[in-house]
Amino acid sequence: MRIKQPIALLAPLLGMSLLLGACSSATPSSTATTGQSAADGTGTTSAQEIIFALHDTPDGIDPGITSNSFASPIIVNTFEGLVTYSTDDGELIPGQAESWDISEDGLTYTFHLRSGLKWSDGTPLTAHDFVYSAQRVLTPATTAQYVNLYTDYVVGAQDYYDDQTKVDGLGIKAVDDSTLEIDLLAPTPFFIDILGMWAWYPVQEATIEANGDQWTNKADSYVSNGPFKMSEIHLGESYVLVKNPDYWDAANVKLAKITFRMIPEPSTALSAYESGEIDGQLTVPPGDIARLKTTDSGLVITASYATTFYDINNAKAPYDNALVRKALNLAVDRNTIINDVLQNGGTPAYTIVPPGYSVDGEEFSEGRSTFDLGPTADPEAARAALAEAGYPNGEGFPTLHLSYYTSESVKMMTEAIAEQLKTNLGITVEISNEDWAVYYDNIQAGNYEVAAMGWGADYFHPMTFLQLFKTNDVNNNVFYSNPAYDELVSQAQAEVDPAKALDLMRQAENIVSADYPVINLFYRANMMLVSPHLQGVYRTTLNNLYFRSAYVVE
Amino acid sequence: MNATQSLPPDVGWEPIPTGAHAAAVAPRPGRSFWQDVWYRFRQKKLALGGGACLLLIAVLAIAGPSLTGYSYSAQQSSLANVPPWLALAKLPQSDDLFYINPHLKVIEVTPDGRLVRQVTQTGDDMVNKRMSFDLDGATLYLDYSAQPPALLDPDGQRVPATSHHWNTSYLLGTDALGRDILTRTLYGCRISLAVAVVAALVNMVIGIVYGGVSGYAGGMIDVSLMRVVDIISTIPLTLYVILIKVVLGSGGFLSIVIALSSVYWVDMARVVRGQALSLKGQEFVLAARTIGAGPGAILKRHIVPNAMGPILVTATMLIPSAIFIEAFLSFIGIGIAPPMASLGTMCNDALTTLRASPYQLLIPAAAICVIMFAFNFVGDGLRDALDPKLRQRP
Repeated sequence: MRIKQPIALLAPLLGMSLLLGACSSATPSSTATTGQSAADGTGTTSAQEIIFALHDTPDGIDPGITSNSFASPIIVNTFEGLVTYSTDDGELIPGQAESWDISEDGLTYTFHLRSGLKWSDGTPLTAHDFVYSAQRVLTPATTAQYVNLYTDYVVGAQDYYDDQTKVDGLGIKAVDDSTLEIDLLAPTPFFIDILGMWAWYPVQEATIEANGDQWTNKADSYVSNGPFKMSEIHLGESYVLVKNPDYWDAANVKLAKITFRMIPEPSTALSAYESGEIDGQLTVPPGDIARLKTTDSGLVITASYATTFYDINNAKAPYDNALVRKALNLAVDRNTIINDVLQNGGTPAYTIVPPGYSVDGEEFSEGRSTFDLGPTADPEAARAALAEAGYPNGEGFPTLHLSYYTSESVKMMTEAIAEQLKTNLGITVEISNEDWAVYYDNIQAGNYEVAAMGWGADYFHPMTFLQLFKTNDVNNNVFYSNPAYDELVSQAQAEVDPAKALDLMRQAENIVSADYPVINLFYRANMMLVSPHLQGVYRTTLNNLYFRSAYVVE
Repeated sequence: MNATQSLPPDVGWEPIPTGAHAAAVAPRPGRSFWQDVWYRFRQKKLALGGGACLLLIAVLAIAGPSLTGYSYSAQQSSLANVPPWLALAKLPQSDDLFYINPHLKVIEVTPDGRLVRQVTQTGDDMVNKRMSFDLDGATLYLDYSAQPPALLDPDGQRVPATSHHWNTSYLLGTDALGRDILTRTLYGCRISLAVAVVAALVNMVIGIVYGGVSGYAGGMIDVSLMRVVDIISTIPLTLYVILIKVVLGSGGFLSIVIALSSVYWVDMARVVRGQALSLKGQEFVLAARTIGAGPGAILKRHIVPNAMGPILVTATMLIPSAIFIEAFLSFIGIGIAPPMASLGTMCNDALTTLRASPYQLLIPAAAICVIMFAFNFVGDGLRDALDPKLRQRP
């Protein structure tokens, strides 16, 4: 999913940060602030009720439509797909489906739903609901942002999307009330991972028929099937979730009430957190990370399968020249950005796919080239590359327009990079900014030169990153195109043997990285604040925050 | 009653000695109106101080940035977030002192307060809350398990930061990107003063001419001109700036200048119109008309000079508000584009690091305060000096 906040960065060691992520909320701690709040009873209560601050209002909370990462805390806690993620170790586990069978040829998946599944309004949930939800996403009028999670993999999905009468050809069928069958175009080893994405979550036909696209705006009509259900919606202010007694595993859900309060400025939220008014917040202001680290504040660092980079418009001169793009990559000082500007010790990135994915113990990023890049800038090599492209010492190079979206940390990062490009390449750089919605429209329209961007994985597989550079992919905003690359990615998508797929994906990544379609900066981690008395909150590497197992301790 | 009774001897009346006569009746030298104003202005110590302050700021803003030795945009990221006043720790293994910044970076500082470099971090043990650094081959530890974080000497003892020194490399410290705050503040003052000049020019030229013509012409011309003023003044300036930014395709100083010059004269126009309305009925204007003076000459020679008092007062009040508008627009992100430094953008940049490095906000904020106060004191002084009702013969 498109993530606009590269604030939280990788901890020095990925393994270590994973450890911290898993155990952080178990840190025994009695900081003055949280201790006080418990003592004087303001804000948080000892009952199983919590207030958690989010910072950006999502563009919508319809699982079938949005691709917006801001919607994630609300959607993943109110809905559940066929599969979900464990809140112990982040592994994929059965969700609404109790089990599934995969045919010999890897093309047909048969899911057996749990018995007695119910919607939050008490009505039964069947396999037909999953079929309805899939057909809804594949209806152009829905304007779903994740159509490609269906059309790329499922038989007949593209045909059905193009022509709504071809419903018989769609490879998503309910065999009976509790059995769902999905036919794939090619054996896709990571298809189960894709099912974890909320575009595949079921939505209830009755409420959508009755309320149209307004169904997500009222708590009553926001019928869901997850551990929590919506109790109040105050747009732009808060979302109140209460425990869903009709959830199949309701016995193990301990929190009675979660209030997601929208506080746009992380620093404002921090004041509320430190006064004990809220129990946690999703983002930590960069300037306070060091301070929070020195105190037992409840700072939680979790590994993240995400990369921060700058898009380069590969379709626009002079950036259509790989040498120019290489020069830009060489002129950026990644260590300075990570250590001095954003100050949270991330890992320098030279390629798009973050480390973490492995097949049989073999890590995807093992033995990967750095493509002549290093943690610090190499001004000489950068100037040499620019000279080779026909701009010795930056002479004759047009003014570089560097754009960013309005965000404090992105602004700092962009100012630092502008200065680095200026001094290391001898070119002129102009900075401009826009709000996210306008900004992203411009990026998609190719109306930019170099622009701040990032990508967080939709599923735990390198393909979620590699598809970004496929010719004409909906998310290929840098307009990179290379037939050899497209071929390798297609092969990897269809490869059944994970080891062979790994090899194909590595080849593909080598091709794209040598063309420098973007300026890769760093692999991220996430940082959030969770009060020590709130335990069991789990944030996956895909940046989904689960409260299913959370509970409040005295 | 005794008619021959004389004045009591102790009343004090006595003849003036002839020699002193001339000096006592010597007429006081006459003073023109402006001399009078200047005299009364001088009496106001605050106004005088404000004026001196403005002069000083103007000189510093124009000459200063080239004297500090830094550019407003050059970044020394490794020396970011270093305040002007350093609390330093002395370690036995080095002649130099060490400063720990709020982000747990260790900066080596010479005994006379010059920043040398950031000591390279080699590791961070989050479990024991201890960072390691490489100091010329030897390992240096920073312990952050207790507050405040402190360096460890070779025996493992915490070394408190006991000695203090001014930061002599960056007199007002560095910001979050390692830029010199002094240079940026002076640069910000330069932009503020440039805005002041633009505002003054616009007011003095467009405002006076527009208001003068409207007031003197009267009738339908006055009505229509004043409705235009009404329309302009009902639309917030912020909106103009955003619109102009969209039209120009980029933001920055130019859009603020255009916005100010297109709409910032309406208050002045109203004041001048009011003055012109009341002055045009007076005898000296009538006299000028009878001897055949044209409207232009009357406006120029009679009405505007006589309205100069209110005009100057309005101008000195409008200028600081223009400066504030620029700082405000830059603060909310639609003013000066980075990396240019405006006092407003500096304040905004400092907000994220407010808890850790408050000086980054205090310095530009203080600069805005000083400029605003200075202009307001001068304005107050001028108003008092120009207002005939407050006139007292000394």
